[in-house]
Amino acid sequence: MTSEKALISGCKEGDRKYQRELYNLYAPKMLVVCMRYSKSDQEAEDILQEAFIKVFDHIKNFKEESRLIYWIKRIVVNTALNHGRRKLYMFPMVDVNELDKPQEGNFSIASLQLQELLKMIQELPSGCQIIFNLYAIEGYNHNEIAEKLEISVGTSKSQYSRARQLLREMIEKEEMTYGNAR
Amino acid sequence: METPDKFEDQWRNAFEDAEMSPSPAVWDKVELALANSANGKFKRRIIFFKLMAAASVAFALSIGGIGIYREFSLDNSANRISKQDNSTQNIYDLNTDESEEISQSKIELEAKEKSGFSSDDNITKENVNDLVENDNVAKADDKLAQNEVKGHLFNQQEKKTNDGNISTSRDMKTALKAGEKNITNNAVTDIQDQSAQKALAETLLVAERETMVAVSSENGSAMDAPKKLEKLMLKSESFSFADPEIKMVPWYSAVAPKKANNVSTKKLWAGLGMSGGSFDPGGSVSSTTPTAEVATFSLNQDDFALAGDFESPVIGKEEKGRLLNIGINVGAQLTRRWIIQSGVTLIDRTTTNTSNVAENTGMSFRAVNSASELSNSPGINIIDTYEIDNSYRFISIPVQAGYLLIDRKFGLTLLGGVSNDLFINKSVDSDNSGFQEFDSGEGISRYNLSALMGTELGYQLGKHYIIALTPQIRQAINTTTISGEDVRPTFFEVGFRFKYLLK
Repeated sequence: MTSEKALISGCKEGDRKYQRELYNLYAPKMLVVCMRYSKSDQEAEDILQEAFIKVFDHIKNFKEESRLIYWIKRIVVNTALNHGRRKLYMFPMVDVNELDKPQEGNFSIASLQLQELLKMIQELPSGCQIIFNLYAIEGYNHNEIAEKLEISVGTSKSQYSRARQLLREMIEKEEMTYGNAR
Repeated sequence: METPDKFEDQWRNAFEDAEMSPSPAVWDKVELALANSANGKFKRRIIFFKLMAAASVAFALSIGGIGIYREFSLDNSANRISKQDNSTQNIYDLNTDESEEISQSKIELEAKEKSGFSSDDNITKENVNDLVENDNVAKADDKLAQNEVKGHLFNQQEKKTNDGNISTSRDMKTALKAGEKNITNNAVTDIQDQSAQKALAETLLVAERETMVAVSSENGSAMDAPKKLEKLMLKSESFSFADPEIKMVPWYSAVAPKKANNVSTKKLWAGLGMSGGSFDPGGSVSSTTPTAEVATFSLNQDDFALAGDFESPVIGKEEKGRLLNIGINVGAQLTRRWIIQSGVTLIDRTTTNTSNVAENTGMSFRAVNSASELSNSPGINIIDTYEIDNSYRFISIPVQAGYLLIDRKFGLTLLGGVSNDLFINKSVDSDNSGFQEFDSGEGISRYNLSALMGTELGYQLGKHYIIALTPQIRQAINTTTISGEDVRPTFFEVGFRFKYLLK
């Protein structure tokens, strides 16, 4: 297997063989990222395609200060955000009243499959979906999200709270429906 | 209560190593986009070269146009000056005729005087004497007459007719005749008079030119424009504009129309070519064997027979050289725009360097320009620095593809390809007559590969012949030495080709 350094070097020279190898190595992981930010498989693949074209176009600028996978993931997330931003312009995020306070008690997703989790995330409203991904999975804080999406910190918090609530409801519903079967 | 960390950690862990296989179509689209991007870059480069070529042609045409314009302008000016000179010559002729008449009269008078004729003759003689005595007066009258002629000529000069016929010459003649008659009536002209008349004619010519310059150099502020325009209009009434005749560009009608886009126009040709140019041996080292600009060696002082004091051997690196190529070439047009060509070329490259080391072979000296020769030559001597001429000969087999940017009577082709250069030999000689020329091929790679890039500006003569100018850059791809030194010379050549179209 080709080393990461050789892959980078080959891709910088535009060698199609190395480009293909890099794609095969990272595309499956990145497709999951795209799925989290999209509403459908097709949209996810569109984001993935666009992101990898950017990767190969800009790999000459990659200074190898971080690991390649993080650099690629950043490009994928930014590409996905650009897609999501278009939706946000159409349906701007607003503060959501936390009518339903988060319920106390144990909460586990361990019993759920990846496809089920992805489906739940995809069913979230666009604003909630993006902020949930950025906060819960990518690890950004609300200030960074607010800056990144050009929204207020309060909006980010309320949207995240709403996302959590919706996800909880979906998980509970799932467990109620299929819990006994599992 | 559920902790946020726990909630987020669960999701983060769930997706940490998650993978899903994308459909094969995604890579196909990525690959297609990359290929399009590469093509786009290539197309942009092609467009750049096209623009460069178009700019070059436009520049060349501009220069050519200016040159032709200047040539024609000068030609018209020369015609005008020639006409003026003819007018002046007429004046000179007229003066000469009159002077001859006067001289003839004088000779006749002298002959009559010698033969001792009648009182009438005496009277004539007296008249002549009177004329001689009154010479000063006559000269004064002569000057007056000249001024009169000059003024008259200026007036006549401005009476050029509207149909462009210049009456200057005739009027000048008439005026001069009148003036000369006055002179004849008053005095006998001599050689000084002829000089004065020549000066007069020259003055007239200068005056006319000054008048024309004054008209042509009318310029100034915008405020003066109406006045100057009025002046120009007035002048235009008195000046003829028929002089600068309209001349057609002679070769314009010879420019062939665009060839039809026809497959049958594919060409096949063979030709001769030669080119010359300069080149940089490449790198910081010599293209032969010295590995440093100044090579110093630890030799025993006893080894140097000629040197009084111990000196270090100094072998300079090879300087920028020149090259001469001569060869034959064949080519074929593959498509409407693409051609391929090849051939065989003999390349002679010459470089110079200096050395203060010579090898004594017993009968003569040999130049030493290689550090490796120092260690195995017994008769090494340090002498005064001298110049070494290195001559390299190669057989080259170029293979080039070309893109026809312009394929008309004038052709412009972008060429790119490689040249397979096979080393034949290297001769080393010196400007010092005591040195013996010898062949050496040490340290030089037997096979060199070079990249070629250039253009061909061609012009088709008749049906079968093309002459072409071929500026070209030749860049060595592999090092030309076998010692491992990275020496990749770059050559700049300008060549001339004569091609015969076989079909």
